[in-house]
Amino acid sequence: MIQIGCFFSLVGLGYYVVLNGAGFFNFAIGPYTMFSGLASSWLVFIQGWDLPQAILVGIAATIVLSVLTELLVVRPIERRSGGEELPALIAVVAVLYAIAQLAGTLFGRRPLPGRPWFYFENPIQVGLAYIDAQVIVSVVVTLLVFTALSLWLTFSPYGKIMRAVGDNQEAARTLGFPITRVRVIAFALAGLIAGIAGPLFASKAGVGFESGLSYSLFGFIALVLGGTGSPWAPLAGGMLLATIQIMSSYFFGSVWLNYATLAIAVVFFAIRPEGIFARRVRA
Amino acid sequence: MISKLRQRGAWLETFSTLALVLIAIAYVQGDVYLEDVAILVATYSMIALGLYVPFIMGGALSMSYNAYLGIGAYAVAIIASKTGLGFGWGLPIGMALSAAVAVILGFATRRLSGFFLASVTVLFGIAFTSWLIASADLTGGGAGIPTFPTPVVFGVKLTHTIVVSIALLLVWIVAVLLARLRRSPFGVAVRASRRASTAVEASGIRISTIVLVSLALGAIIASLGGSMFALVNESVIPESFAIDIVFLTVFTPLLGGQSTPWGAVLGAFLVVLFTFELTMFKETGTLLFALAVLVVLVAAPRGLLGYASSGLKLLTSRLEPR
Repeated sequence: MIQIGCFFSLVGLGYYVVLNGAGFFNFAIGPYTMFSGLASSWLVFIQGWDLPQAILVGIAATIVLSVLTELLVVRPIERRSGGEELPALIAVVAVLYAIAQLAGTLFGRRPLPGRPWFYFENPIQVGLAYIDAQVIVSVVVTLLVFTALSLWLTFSPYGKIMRAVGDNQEAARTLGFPITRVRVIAFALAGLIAGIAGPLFASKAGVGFESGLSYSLFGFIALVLGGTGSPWAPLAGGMLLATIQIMSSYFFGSVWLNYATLAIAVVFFAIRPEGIFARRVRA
Repeated sequence: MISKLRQRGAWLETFSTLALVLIAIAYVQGDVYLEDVAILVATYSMIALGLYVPFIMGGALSMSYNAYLGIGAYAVAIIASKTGLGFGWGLPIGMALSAAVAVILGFATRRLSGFFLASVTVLFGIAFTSWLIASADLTGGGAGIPTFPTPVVFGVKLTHTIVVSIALLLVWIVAVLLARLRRSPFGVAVRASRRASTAVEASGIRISTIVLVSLALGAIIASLGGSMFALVNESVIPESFAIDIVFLTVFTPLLGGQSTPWGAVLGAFLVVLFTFELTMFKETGTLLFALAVLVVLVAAPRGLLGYASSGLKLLTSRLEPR
C-alpha cells in the first residue's frame, strides 16, 4: 500500500510540475512512466543489461519524450488555439496513445516484470507485516524526490520563476521571465520524475505498454485529491487514493478498485476540485 | 441565392454518399473477409458519429463510448439468448439504456469540463468493462455470450451479408441526419455553446439541457452500432468493449475533418485501414495511426475533408466565368 501510494504521489508530482510551469494537466505523464519502466525492464530481461544502466537509459529516454511533447505538440497547438483548453487536451490524449503504441512496437506487447533495486536476504518483520527492501527504497526515493523538488522550487532561480509562472502566467510574462524556457524545464522535470517512478514501481506489479493510461488517471486523481497548493500535496493525495483503493478491493473484491476510483473521482471533482490543500490567496 | 446553393450542396452530399455506400455494399457482399472489414468500419463509424455531437459540435470530451457500444451489443445478445423475446427488442432497449446511462453520467459530471470530464468518463469506461467481466450471471463474464441464434425477421433469416448491408445503410442514415442536425437550430445552439455560452444562455436556451440531450443522442448512436456489431458476429465478448476502442475512434472526426459528420466516417475507414486491413502495417499500424493523428492535429487542424472541400472551392472558383 505504501509503495502504491508512493507511486501515485510521484506521478501526481509530475502533473504538479507541469501544471505550475506550463499551466495544464499533462496526461501523457502515465505513458512516460510506463515507457521508462518498460524500457528498463526490456533492457534488463531481454537485452541482459545491468539494472543501473538500464534505469538511467529509461530516465533519459523519458526526459527526451517529455521535452519533445512540449516542443513538437503542445507548443504549436497552444500557439494556434490561443490557450483554449480542448485542443491541448485532445493533443495530449493523442500523445498518450502514441507513446503507448511506440512502447508496444519497440519493446513488444507482452507485459514484463520489473527488478527490485535492492534485496534483503530476510524481509524485516514489523508486527504482522513483512517489509521487503523495495518498499524502503520506494519510500526513501519518493521522499528524496519530493524534498529535492520543494527545495528547488523555493531556492533556485528557475524554481522561483516557475512558482511565479504557476501563480500568474501573464504577470510573469509581463515581468519578462523566460516563460518558454521555464515550460521546457517543467516538462523535463516531469520526465525525470516519471522516469524514476517507472522502474521503481515496475518491480512491484510489472509493466505493460497499456499500463500508462491507468497511471495517468491515478496520478491525476492523486493530484486533485491532494490539491495544488503545495508540492507536498500530491503525496497526501497519492497515499489517500492508494488506501481507498486497497481497502475497497480488500473488503469487496478486486472489481471494486475500479468502482471506488470512479466514485472518488466523481465525488471529489464535483465537490472539491481544488483538493485538500488548496492555495489560499489573500484578497 | 446562397441558401439555394447550400441546399443543392446538401442534396449532392446526400446522394453522392448514398451512391458510395451502395457501391460499398455491392463490393463487399459475399466475401466474408471484406464483410468483416465493413462491419468494423460501420461500428467505428457509429462510435465516431456518436462522439460527433457532444465532442466536435459541443466541445465536451466524454469518453465512455465503449460502455454505450457494449450496452447495445449486450442488450441484443442477452435478449436473443436468454429471453423469449425477439432479438429486435434488443435494439430499442439498448438505445434506451445507453441514453439513460449517458444522462445519469452527464448529470453527475455536469460541472466538469476538459481534463476532469475526460478522466471521469475514461474511469467510467474502465469500470464498465470490469463490471461486464464481474457480473457473470447476466453477461457471461469473461467468456461473454458465445453464440446466439441467427435472428429471423418475417421468416427471412438475417444472414451476415444482410446485417452488414443494413449496418452500412444505417451509417449513411445517421450521417445524413447528423449533417442536417448540425445546421438545425439545435445544432447551431450546441455548436455555439462551445465558444459563446453566455450568448446561448441569453437567447433562452439552457446549456445543461442541450448538453444532456447531445450526450444521450451520441449514446443512442453508439448503442445502435454495438447492436449491429453483435448481430453480425452472433456473439459478444467483453474485450470488444474495452476502453481501447474509444482511443481508436475519438480521433477519427479530427482525422477526417470536423466540419461534416462524413469526416468521422472517413476517419473510421482510415483507422480500420491502418489497424486491420493492410497486412504490411501489422505490427506498427496503431503506431502509424497515432503518429498520423498527431501530424493532423499539429499541422492540419481541418482534417482531410476540410482540405478537400477548400481545394474544390478553389477549383470551382477558378472555373467559373468572372
